[in-house]
Amino acid sequence: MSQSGESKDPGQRRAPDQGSDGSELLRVEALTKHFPVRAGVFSRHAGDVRAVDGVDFTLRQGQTLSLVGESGCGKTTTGAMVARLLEPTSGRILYRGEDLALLPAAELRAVRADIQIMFQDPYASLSPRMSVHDIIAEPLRVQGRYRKGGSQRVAELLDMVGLMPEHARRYPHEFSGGQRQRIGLARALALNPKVLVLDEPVSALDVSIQAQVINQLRRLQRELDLTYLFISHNLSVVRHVSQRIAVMYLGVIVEAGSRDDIFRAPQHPYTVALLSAIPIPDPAGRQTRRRITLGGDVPSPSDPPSGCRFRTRCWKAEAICTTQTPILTDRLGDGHPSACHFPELDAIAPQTAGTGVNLDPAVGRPPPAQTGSR
Amino acid sequence: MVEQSPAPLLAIEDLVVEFTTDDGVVRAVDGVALVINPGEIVGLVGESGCGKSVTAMSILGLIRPPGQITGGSIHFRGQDLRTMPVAELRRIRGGQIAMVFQDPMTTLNPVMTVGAQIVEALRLHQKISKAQARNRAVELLKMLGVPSAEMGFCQYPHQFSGGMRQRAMIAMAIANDPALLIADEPTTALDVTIQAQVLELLRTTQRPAGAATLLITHDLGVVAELADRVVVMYAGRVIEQAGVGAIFAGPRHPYTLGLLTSVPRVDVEDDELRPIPGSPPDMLAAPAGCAFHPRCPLVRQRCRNQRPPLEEVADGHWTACHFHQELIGADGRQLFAASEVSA
Repeated sequence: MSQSGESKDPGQRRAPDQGSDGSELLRVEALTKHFPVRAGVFSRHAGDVRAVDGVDFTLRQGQTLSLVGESGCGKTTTGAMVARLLEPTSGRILYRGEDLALLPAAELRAVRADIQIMFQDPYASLSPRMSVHDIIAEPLRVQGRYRKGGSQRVAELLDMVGLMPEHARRYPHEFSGGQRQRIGLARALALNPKVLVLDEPVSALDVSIQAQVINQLRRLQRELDLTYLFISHNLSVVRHVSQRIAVMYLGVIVEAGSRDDIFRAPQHPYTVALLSAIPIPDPAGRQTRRRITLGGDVPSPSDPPSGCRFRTRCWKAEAICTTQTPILTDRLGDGHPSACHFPELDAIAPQTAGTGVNLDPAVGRPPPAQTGSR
Repeated sequence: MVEQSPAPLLAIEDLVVEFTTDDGVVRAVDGVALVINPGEIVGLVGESGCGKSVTAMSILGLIRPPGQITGGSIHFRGQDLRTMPVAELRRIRGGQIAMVFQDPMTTLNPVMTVGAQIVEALRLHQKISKAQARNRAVELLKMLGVPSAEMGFCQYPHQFSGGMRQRAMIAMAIANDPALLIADEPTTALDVTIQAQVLELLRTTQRPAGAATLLITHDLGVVAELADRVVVMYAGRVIEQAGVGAIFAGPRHPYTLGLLTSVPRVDVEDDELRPIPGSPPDMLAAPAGCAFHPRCPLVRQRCRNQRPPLEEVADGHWTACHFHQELIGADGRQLFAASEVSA
């Protein structure tokens, strides 16, 4: 599953606030991660959860690529593989053109410093028994960089994320959620990384604090020329931080494109449904908004539907969707590939007036039965 | 105090709830007044710790030590729920007033089938046979879109997905046709497409039945989609309330305005978020005067020592701000101009 569109990246062309050259920094090719499912008394291998099932994307210097999708779509697993916290089942991760799986240990160590991760849960990701100073200094110590000016570096990092020098002596429980997320950020920045994997960095925070952290992430990106892989289920947040967006569903990317591509001219029905599902903080248009309510749940990744994985919830599904897996292709040749047999190729704004689609049996009639959609 | 209709369904006045902790007494709810009229969807909004959930729990008498209701009254159809005998309150709870919680996994009984739990809820409040209750339960599950409801009836909560569990919770809550449904963050734990399903359900099941809903959430989008009237809380107090249109189009409290400028939106072409600086106060040491003053762009000396009362500034629009006049036609984006770093 290669993306012809990646070669000419529209994110580079239309990127907003970019001082960066946008050259390729990290590339992921046909990445998969299967977790074995064991059953019975002998732990027989009973199948695989195909958490990530063939994903390609490129991270460009100084830019943000967001992976969006609902729980179980494989976005976090993908992020963990990029940060080398999980070993891929197959596929390649190329950093500055070098395959990370083939690097000798010493070089991998250096690369690990370049790719850092920040986690979602500010309460679970910091050790409660370590002071803030030790938490932030730990990566420096591990990489043998603490002795020379380590304390000073910690103070600098605290300042960078908007905390006070005296906070260094305190422990995580003394901080609010937003402050803890900043501590996690300072730790992730300690080794001067080039790439930051941000796994739902603001999802656990209240709105007023969330906005502070988002603005800070954006400012740091500009100042330090950081490249972000931003993982989130929240499309509103994603719209604010990314140049490029990849929408994931059940372990695969179903659509990728620039921010405007995804929000103004979504092609894949799943993207259209996701966008229409976001509650808009403006009651004025709530009567006329085009709503698409999907029926049912995301199927199990251990037994994904044949053909197109989205077909069981799709209102456009036909016979071909059951038998043929749609390939992620760039139909219009503008760097906006989607994986659907019946893509929306005319720009439609998903939230504007129009006929709604309701697939939820509880809140209206399901659409007329279509062949092939079960 | 806040009188809007001759016969409100629920009227809370001057509610005070305190929690005794090792470090002192925390006043989680501090003089809250709230009215819900029949058939109305009221959104109760605020950030974590503002007292919105505690207010909801108080209605059903679910505050347990170290928490305690220390003042005020809660009238439901004219009866004071606070002074009511426990046996009587039990009849109302789950009957005329029902509640949906944020996390269905911790509220559903893991060792009872979903069906048995709905049947229990039904038979607790209605004199019907087991068979009748069973049929009604299956009907409810069907109505809420649980696929193969007959089978779902016999399953345990862990066999349900998150969205299905929340549907089961709603089925149980509306089983006895409550006059008031209290939904505490009903969609926060759900994915967006599932959230859309549940919101649609709340919209379609509650409204036609003429029942009222108190919708508690931190998500302004959810409120804008569903609510008729919005009540905003900050640091244990109601700081603004108005019809949903007025709250979003012309908020008269700087906190409400700040919340609106903080939210990232998919429908507005603007890159910079304008967060409210600072963070919500520590309730053990709440600021004097207006609790919002340390974070407020309009702050003056008066705000530091005099607490603004909640007063009606337009028809049905109440706010607690000394300088609410200055917010008429104010540009929130300018007021909260990118003040990003604050610890």
